[in-house]
Amino acid sequence: MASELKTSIDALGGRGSRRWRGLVGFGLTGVATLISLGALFSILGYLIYHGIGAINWAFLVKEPAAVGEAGGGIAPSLLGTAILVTISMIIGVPLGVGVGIYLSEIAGETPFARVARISINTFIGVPSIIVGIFVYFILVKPTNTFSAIAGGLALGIIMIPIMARTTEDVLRLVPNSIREAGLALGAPRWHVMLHVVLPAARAGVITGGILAVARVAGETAPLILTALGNEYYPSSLFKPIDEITLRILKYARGPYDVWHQQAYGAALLLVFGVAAGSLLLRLSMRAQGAPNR
Amino acid sequence: MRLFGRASLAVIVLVCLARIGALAQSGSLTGAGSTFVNPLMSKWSKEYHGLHPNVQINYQSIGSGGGRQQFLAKTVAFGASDAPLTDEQLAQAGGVANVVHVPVTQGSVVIAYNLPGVSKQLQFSPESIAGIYLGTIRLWNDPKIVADNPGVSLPTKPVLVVHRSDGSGTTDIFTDYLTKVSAEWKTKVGHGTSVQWPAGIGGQGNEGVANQVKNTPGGVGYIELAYARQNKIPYGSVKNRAGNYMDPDPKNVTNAAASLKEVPSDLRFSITDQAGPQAYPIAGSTWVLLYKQQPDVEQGKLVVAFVEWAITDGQKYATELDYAVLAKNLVQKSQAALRTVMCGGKPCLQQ
Amino acid sequence: MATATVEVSPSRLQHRTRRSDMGDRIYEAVIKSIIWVVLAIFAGVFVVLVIGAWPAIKRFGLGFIVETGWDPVHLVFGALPFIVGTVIVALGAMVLAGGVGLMTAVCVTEVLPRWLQGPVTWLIEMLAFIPSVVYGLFGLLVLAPLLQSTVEMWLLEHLGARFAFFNGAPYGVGYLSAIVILAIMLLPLIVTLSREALILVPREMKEAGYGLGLERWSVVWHISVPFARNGIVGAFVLSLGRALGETIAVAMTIGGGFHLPTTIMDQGYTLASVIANEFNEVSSDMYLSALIYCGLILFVITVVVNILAYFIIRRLSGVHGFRA
Repeated sequence: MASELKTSIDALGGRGSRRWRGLVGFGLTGVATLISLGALFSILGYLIYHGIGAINWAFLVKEPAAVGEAGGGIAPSLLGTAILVTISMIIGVPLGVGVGIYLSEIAGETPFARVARISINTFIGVPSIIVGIFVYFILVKPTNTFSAIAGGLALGIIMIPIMARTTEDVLRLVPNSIREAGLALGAPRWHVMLHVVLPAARAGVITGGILAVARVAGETAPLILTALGNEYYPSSLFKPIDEITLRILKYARGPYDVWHQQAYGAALLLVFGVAAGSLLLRLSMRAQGAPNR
Repeated sequence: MRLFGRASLAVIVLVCLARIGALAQSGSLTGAGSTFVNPLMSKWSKEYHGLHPNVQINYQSIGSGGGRQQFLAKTVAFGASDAPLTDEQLAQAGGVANVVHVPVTQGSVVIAYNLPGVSKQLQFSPESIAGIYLGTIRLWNDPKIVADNPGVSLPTKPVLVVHRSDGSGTTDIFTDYLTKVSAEWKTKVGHGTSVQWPAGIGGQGNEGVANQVKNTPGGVGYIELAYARQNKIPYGSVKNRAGNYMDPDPKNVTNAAASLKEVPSDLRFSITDQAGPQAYPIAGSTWVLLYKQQPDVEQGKLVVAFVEWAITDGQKYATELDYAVLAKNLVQKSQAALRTVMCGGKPCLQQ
Repeated sequence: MATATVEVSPSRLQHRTRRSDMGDRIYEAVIKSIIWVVLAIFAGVFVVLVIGAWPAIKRFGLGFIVETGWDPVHLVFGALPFIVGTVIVALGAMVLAGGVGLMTAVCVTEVLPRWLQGPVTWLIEMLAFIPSVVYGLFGLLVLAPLLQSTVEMWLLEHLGARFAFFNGAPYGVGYLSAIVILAIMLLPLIVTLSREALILVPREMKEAGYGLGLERWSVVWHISVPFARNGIVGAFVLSLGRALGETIAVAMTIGGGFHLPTTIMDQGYTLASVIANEFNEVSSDMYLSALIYCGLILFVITVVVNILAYFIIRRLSGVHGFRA
């Protein structure tokens, strides 16, 4: 063991102060890595330690109990998350893929195309709370109600630039020869797009979609101003709806120990749900033989 | 893979549609506002849902400021606020002819603190409280606090002040009290649901302040009694105008309310710093805000029925949650006010 | 290299006449209209912000950006504390995450044996899967009390008497918590992108260094890292953009202060978090308008930073093939 250590240190090369510098330098990088991993493990550790006790059947199917009382669940939040994500996909995926197609296939170097490209790339970085303000004023105020539709719309708008970027990237990877082959055979452009290029890029687009969904499922800020929250199962798309991150926010900020435990439990579900989903995705992509991104 | 994705999507959509269909006849109402009343309102919502399974009162505690704001924006069926609408807001909503304030409960704002090592309940005079929140009293063993608590050994710890960062009816009650008992507070800060605090950090809602005080040794904050009791946070007794140190128990809130000589016709009143010898000085009420002309007839009937239940049968849940039961004359006035709420030309409260 | 089969049967080819031109025209019309809708939404966001902020803009003018003071009773608002807060939190987190992240990337590419590199990278990437609100939960319930009882108490007791900067009230929540939590959130981005940049360093460069007699550390620190500089700078710039917009985790840990910070333990607000915490709670229309004015400022800042980042990265990617 000691001799192996000596061999490794010798491999660093150098003499005297240079060797010390190397030891210290690489030592620091090791410390940094331990810090990074430590952050991950401590967060996951706390989630598991405090949250696992909260997860039981009642937690998954019951509505929240009255304030401070034990025994409630987060079922409306789970259902609400699914509904909001679905609505956001209905809005975000077609528009996002369409924009991606435009940027990759149709846009030239015209001023309009330049503006479009910069706008999309810029909008990815716009904070989601701003999108929430937008939807509050164009939908919540005029219809006089917070609603699932407003929440889904906000999430969908956030999804558009993400989907556009991924779609554009993936479409660019499709070799031009395939497009040219299709066109040479006499197929019209839309046919080549729909039946040749998109199928070739299918794996990447789906991956991009799932990543966008994972990203959007974790967005809380815009929902504060659009979906508001609900203590009951969603009964209408035109009424306020609960969502898992909204519930975590509410419970984490309160003083009740019951709330804290349920917040940890919900966080645990969310993190492992997202991680498991993406892991499954990677494995199935690899199984299908698609290029590993 | 794609099939799996499509299939799961379809399942989710179907489940949603099914649930939506099943509850299509239900009444789902959204109310928002006061965190002060949240423990009681949430209990009412659950109990009422048990009695009327197709009615869901979805109450979101976003603070009285938010409740009034969303009420004015007409995005909720009712607002709940521990501070009645200001004159400007009342004018904005269409005046007294258009808005009904229905008091639904009363409670105490307590001075909660976190001092491990001090087991006896602390006493606070108005001067101490004002000093703490003005930032002039920095340590727990400041002469003023020591004078309030003879025989108690107080640590030389910094006082970590917590107030509300959001628009809050609890703040309104608290600053209303401070404006009455401290001339310095009146000129420097004033009274409202949001003020420019001279000292301390802000928590979100009663929940946030309670959480912060609970986690901060040396911390002090003003919260509704239920939050202090439910989370076992120590709170102090406060010296009232008559010179007695009163515990924030609900019966002393009722004493404060009883001291109120007359109730104005628009039902906007304050019960802080009352003259009664057994009155708790930092007491307040929560009002439900309703438009006299309910925009949605079905919703209007449900809301008014719920509020009527809350001020009558619902009062039995008040005591177990440390709120004060409404006095009889107040209940009568509230019911009279509810009867003026119209659903499509007729009083909502018929059935 | 992906393969695809072209499914164009001969019979379809014969029908390629006006119908397919029609098809192409519909296709282009659909895509064009999608682009117009999306650009309209982006423009609409800006318009809504301006309209909502207009009462505050009229009342406070551009002075809003440099004024302090946030008085909801007397309706005096100034956004400087939030702008300063945004800068402090973003820069602080970027520096912290940049230092730790870059060193971690160096360790993963240069120190760890090959079989360990993949799993460790994957683990660090897991940090990116944790949503903002879960970071806020951890920050509020675990990190803040920890910082309060350890770091803040130590600083107060040992340095507080001599330096006003350390003489604050130890609440736990505040700039310290927010910066640490945000730094953890930025770590995966910096580690992943720096690692990709470091991997691209050609072996010849490193071997030239060894050939000259340099030892391992010098090769890494004086050859690899400078060569990967563009990618690393790109990583930093992207993390800055991310840090500016982070809302919820900051809202939960920064404590809520409307004043300029004076001590290390101070509380504050960033533009994004003040909107998130106050929007539903405003006590007057002017208050709401002031908040939207803050949103407008935030929007302008992020757009400017993102445009700069886009051009910086485009320039960098041209030189060394770094693809963001």
